[in-house]
Amino acid sequence: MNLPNPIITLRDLKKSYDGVNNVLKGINLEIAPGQIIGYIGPNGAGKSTTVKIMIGMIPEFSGEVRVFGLDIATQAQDVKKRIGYVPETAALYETLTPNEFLRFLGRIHEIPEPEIRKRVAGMLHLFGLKENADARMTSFSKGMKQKVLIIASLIHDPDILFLDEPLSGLDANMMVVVKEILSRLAAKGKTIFYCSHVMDVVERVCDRIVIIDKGVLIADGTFDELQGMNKGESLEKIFTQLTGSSGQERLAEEFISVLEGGGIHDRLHPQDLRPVSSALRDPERRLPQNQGASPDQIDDRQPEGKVRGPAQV
Amino acid sequence: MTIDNRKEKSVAQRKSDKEISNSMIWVLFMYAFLGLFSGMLLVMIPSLFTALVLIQAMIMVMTAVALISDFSSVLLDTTDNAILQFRPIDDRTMAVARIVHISIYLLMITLSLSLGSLVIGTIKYGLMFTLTFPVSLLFSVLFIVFLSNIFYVLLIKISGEERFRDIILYFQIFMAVLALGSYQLLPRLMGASFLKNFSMEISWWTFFIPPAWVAAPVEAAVRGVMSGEALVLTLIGIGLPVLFVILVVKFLAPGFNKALLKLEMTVPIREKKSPGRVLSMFFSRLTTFRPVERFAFELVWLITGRDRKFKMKTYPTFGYWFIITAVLALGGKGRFSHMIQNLPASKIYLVFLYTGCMLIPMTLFQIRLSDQFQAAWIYHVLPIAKPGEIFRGAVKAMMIKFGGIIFLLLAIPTLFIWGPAVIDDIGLAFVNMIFITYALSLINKNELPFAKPYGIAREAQTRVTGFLYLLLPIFLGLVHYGLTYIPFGVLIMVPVIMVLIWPVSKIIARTLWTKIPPF
Repeated sequence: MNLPNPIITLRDLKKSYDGVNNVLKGINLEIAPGQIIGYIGPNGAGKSTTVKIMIGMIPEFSGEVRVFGLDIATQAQDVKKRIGYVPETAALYETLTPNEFLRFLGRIHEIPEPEIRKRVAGMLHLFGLKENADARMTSFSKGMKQKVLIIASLIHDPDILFLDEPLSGLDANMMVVVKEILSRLAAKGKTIFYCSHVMDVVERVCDRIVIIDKGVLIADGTFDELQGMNKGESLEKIFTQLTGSSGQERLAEEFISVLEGGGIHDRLHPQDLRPVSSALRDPERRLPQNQGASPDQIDDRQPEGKVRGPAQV
Repeated sequence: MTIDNRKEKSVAQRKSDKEISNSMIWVLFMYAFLGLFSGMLLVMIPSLFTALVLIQAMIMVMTAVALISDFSSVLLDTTDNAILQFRPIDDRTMAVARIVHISIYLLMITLSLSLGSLVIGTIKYGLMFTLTFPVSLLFSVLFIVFLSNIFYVLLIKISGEERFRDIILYFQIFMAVLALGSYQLLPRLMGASFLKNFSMEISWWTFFIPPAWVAAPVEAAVRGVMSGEALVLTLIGIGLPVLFVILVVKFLAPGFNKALLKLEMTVPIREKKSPGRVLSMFFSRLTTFRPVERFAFELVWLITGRDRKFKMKTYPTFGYWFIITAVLALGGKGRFSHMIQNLPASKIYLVFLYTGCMLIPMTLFQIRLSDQFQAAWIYHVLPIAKPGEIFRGAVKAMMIKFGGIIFLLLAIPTLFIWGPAVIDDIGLAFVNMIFITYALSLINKNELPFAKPYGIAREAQTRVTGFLYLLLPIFLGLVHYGLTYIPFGVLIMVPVIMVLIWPVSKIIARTLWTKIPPF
């Protein structure tokens, strides 16, 4: 693919931690302005790493990354002025208030003080945080923090938005609002790079879907194109086919049988479990930190189930 | 049976959670030390009643503060609730587990606190003391437990969780300062002569001080004479705890659980026109000129004023330093009034000023750390060309905030005692403080504020840097001391240091991203 004026270009992007663990194994990607890109993949596929490289948070990588035509390795500061980012973990200095935090950001972006005040107050009001604008964020729920982060990513009216699970913790109404905001931003010519586990949101919101697995791009195209390529109907099915994991149903069955006191019939491999967790829909989103049902959690619960379970019956 | 089993289990779990073994032994050791000194009162004060009142007062205060500062964590452990609440454990089991845990803890504290008195008392007053003293202890502890219970309930009723935790924090800091300070102060107090002929008569107000209630029966038992007043006091001492038990069980306990529940429905702390924010904005406008520097200044100023862990790590040091300073200034072996007269002739204020200078770099060392270190992604996302400006903003904030407090605390009494002649000394010390802080911040200039978790931090401070933290203030202090013998020496040095500050602060501000470990 050779776009005439790509806003983001990745060429043979490779990243390894400690030189051993290859997270990204040569990613090539061009993104046109005004698109919403859905970037999906199983846990540990390298989604967040890709984003962090593109926004200049991880300076060490090999290959070429250009954003706005600027080389991220040398001109990161100029790129950072024009992008917004919502990180995967809703980590904030919680002793600050939303007002303080957002004002700090506005100031770094050199927005005039009255303009900052206007934007912060307006956005907090619209997101239902007006009452809490001057409250320390220690008492905030995950959803409230997520709202603050979304506002933070938009405060300087960036041209590209990098969103890593931006809807986590938000209630259904808020999700609709944010999705609508994203579509309108795209209509205004903003580019949105959207990382997520939640397939149906990606399916509905994104113009183009890129699937990554184990550091390699395995699919790229519109939802319709992906459907044409594979026989699945929903993105979720396509995803599980592409990431090469089958037998989720068997795994689920095993899970239940473990609960009911039976043993594990075959050895379960942690790798096998991963696609299941990411393919599960909403219920797993409520688990802390969005890590899904990782194998060690299952192991943890097992003895407790044995001890407490029978005592109750 | 099952319930019993679970009870023990949850108590055992709690214990292991608290890592009771090591730190607890230390704390108990410290209490025993305190107890030994208070036990000495029995020897030093001829009147048994007076000594007992003092000892009981000490035990009551210590238990109360320990209870409040240590037990808030057990009482308010919400993570615990999240794990246990949805499992089949009823409220009563939880309550029992809590009570068992608290009782064990209290038993250990009071034992260590009273051991000294018990041994010394037995030697001096005989077996009757051994028998009655523990009983009186039981009642005073009972009294304190229920008093602090009432304190808790009231506190929860008037404040939300966050404020509540803040109040508890100040108890914890007080406790820490007390712990450190008691080593210094107690032996000196023991030497004070006024204790020798200090005695207390029973008068009308005696009936209002709790330690007297439990001291009276012990004295009566040892003497074998029961006066009317002692009888009244004894009755109060026994009656009041019993009354409290009834009060708590009947009226407060049901409300307490509800209040705790309310605590979890967090009431946020609002900061609209908080003094911290106003001050930070005022000083940042005064001292910083670039957006990034101002951002860091206000960030550091606000978070250091609010983060409990930071306060817990730094404030006790300040308190301890204050005690040491006071001891140095007023202590010694001579008579108190004599010392005060001699002070102006000495130059000991220089020692105070420069020990104050040591504190700020140490505080600065602490701001690298935070429980919310993950929030540091923000530095890496924002268009910050020179991260050095973050450091300089942070250094300035700490210098003005804590340096300002220290110098105000020091300069006023110094001026008061030594007179306006030492203004130049204070000026030079202040300029030196700025220089020391900047220079020492060069050591760990590559670490962004609040970007590292607690725990792995220890390795970072090597012996060499720790040594430098002490050496530089001492060196400059000595130079300063030497200059006082040269006419106008101090005055000339002020601009010299000021000129030196400039390049150092430039170096800090020029730090590049390449020097900083990636997120």
